[in-house]
Amino acid sequence: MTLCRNLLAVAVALVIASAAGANEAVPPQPPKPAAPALKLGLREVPFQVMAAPRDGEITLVVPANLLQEAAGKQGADAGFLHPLFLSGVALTLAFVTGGFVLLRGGRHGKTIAAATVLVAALVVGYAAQANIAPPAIPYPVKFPTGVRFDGKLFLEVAPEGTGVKLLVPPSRVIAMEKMAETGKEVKP
Amino acid sequence: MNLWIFFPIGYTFTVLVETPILLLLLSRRHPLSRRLFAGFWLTLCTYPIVVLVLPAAFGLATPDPSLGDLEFRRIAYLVVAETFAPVAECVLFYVAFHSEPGVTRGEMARDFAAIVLANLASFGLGELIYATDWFQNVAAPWLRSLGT
Repeated sequence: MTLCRNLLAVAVALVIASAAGANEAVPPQPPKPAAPALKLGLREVPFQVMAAPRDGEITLVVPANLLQEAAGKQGADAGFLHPLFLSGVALTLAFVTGGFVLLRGGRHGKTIAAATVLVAALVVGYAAQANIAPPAIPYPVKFPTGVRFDGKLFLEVAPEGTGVKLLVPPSRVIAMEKMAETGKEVKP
Repeated sequence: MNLWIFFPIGYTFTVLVETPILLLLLSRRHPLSRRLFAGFWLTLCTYPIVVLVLPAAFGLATPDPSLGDLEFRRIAYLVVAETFAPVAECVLFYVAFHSEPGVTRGEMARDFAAIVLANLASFGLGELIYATDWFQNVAAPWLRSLGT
């Protein structure tokens, strides 16, 4: 009889608990992150004038992080999920393991070491494909005295970067260099 | 500069500087093939951390002015990276080659000194290249001239 009473009490408790669980209030949803606000006002930023990788219009490149208020930090604050963190650690582990296997691996050592090199090559290939910059290398440009820029200018907001860059098309750079040599204005 | 472009260039440079030092200065108990292997392998193991992981950790991979003084972070990075690399390479070398019987303390000290010296040499030359902006002034125009 006592057993029946106890079982009944447990069943009632379970029914009450499940009902309470079913009626539990929906947990508050985390607020959606607001779009980063535009950073207003005067500030100092690095500035470079570079020859553009290819011809076109003069382009002013402004990294987005210079325009936004604390828009998702790069670098240290990006945490351990930064692609460079993951790729670097993966490569180191692959090379350390591969080296030891090559040294002590015995019969299958060379096969495993070759597989390690393949994995490393895949990591490098994947990361390079994801991150690599255009092959042309921009280089700094010096303006000769008296050079004038007017007319059109393209404004590009880049996803990341260190500072503001003014990209000058190669034909204009050549014209500027000729102008610096001859002292006369040369049309690009 | 994109770190993935810098990685193979920097690795080749480091191996070219460090391997001859290791070939000359590692103790005589190690055969030539092992010294050569050490020259390539030790750098290969630490270089991804030095060139990819630590710059990201110090906010140098994609510099953001809001993270603070860039030059201070670069110095902090150099201190950590240039301490990590020789220490890690000594540990790797110890685990790989000093577990054999009959290795004397003198040989061990000589090997560690050779590794530290090789790292200091590559660090010193690397800083010289950085200070003279060699890549921007010499290598980049040369690479461009190859492309045209």
